[in-house]
Amino acid sequence: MLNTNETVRVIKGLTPIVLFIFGLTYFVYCRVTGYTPVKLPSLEEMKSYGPILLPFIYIFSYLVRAGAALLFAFVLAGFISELMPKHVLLNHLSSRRKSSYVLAALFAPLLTVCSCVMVPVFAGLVYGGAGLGPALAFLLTAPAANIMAIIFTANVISWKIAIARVFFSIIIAVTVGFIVSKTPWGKAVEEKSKARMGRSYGVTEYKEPLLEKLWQSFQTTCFLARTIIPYLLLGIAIVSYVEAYLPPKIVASYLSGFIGIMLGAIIGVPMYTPTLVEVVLVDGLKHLGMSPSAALAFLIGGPMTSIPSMLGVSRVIGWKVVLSYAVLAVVGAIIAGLCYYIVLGDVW
Amino acid sequence: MAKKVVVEVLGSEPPCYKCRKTYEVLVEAVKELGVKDRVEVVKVNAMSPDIISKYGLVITPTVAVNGEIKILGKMLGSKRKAIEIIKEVLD
Repeated sequence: MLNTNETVRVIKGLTPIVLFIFGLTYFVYCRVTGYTPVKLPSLEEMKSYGPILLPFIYIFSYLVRAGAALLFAFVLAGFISELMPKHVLLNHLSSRRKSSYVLAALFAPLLTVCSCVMVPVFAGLVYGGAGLGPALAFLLTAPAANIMAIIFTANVISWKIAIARVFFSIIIAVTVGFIVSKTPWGKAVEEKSKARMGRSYGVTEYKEPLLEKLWQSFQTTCFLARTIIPYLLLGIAIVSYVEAYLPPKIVASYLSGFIGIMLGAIIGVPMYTPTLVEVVLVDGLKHLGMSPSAALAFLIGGPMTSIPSMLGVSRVIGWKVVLSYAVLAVVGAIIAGLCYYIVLGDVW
Repeated sequence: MAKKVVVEVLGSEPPCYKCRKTYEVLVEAVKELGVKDRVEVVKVNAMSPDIISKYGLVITPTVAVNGEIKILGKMLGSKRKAIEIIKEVLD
């Protein structure tokens, strides 16, 4: 006989799994069959409701289009943050082998679901782990290739852009990390931190039953949703005005071609967009005539050079290193945009 | 008299929501157990070089009891769990 307590525990534990399966199935079903539950109004129709109702209708149409993908992405992020054996990943990152560059870039999306942990891990990598180069590789991939952002990009924009975003982010991050760690000021940081390395720690983690872990992962999901969704909704509302009132001529002439790629990568630097909002913005500009290569440059360059994280790490490694990685990241984003244009052309 | 138990919460500075919550839950757990004189909960900055050379590479929030990591990179949200962790060391 199950008692009530036990039943509650099982229900709590199964909640995220049910939501995950529901989100994924619905997401795939809509993709495959092209099904939409409500017929979405076109932009012209939305505009006819006037400037006050416009953002609400725009938000609604987003929720219909991307709701399932968001649900699935948030639950997945919760799973990753709770169930990932983090000490195993961290142990791999504590060595100073060459492979740690690639590992840092690959693990970044798995370790940092929430951006507030990024700077401390970065500091840890510089002082006690793999060193400056891998630390930079980690710092640059984490926001640009984060799991939620990629799923959202794939759903809202296109699979090609999403895959290109991950691929180029990792390559750029590793390259930039390597180059910066070889500059004189990068070497100075390395020298200063070398004295401290070489301590591996004992982890005797507190064990708990799986059901409990699943429930915890769901709590993390809720926490992420609470933090991210308000900004996302606000972002969507602002983008609705951009899409409705920015003349397509301006976008088509400045955000396409080579100038578009350059500008795409550069405007991302001062413009700080919260996670996921950059995708909404690109989708809006896409309808106004932004080219896919410019979009890619923006999606890579923007998150890599976010001002808050630059401020955070400048205390650890100093401004010279920060500036050099930011410049190199922008250059990398431009090259990524060019490569996309050469290989795929104007295909989304 | 037995040595005091030190519970360290390694968090980012300024503290993010998860780190703050973890700290609060631990403080409450200590209060509830009535072992304030035997257990000390402290916040430490995960970015300071000293902490990094003591614990190595960590993810915030991390909870260490007497220098041993008990929770790595997860928020400690339930008081029941916090109490269990503290009881384990006290016994």
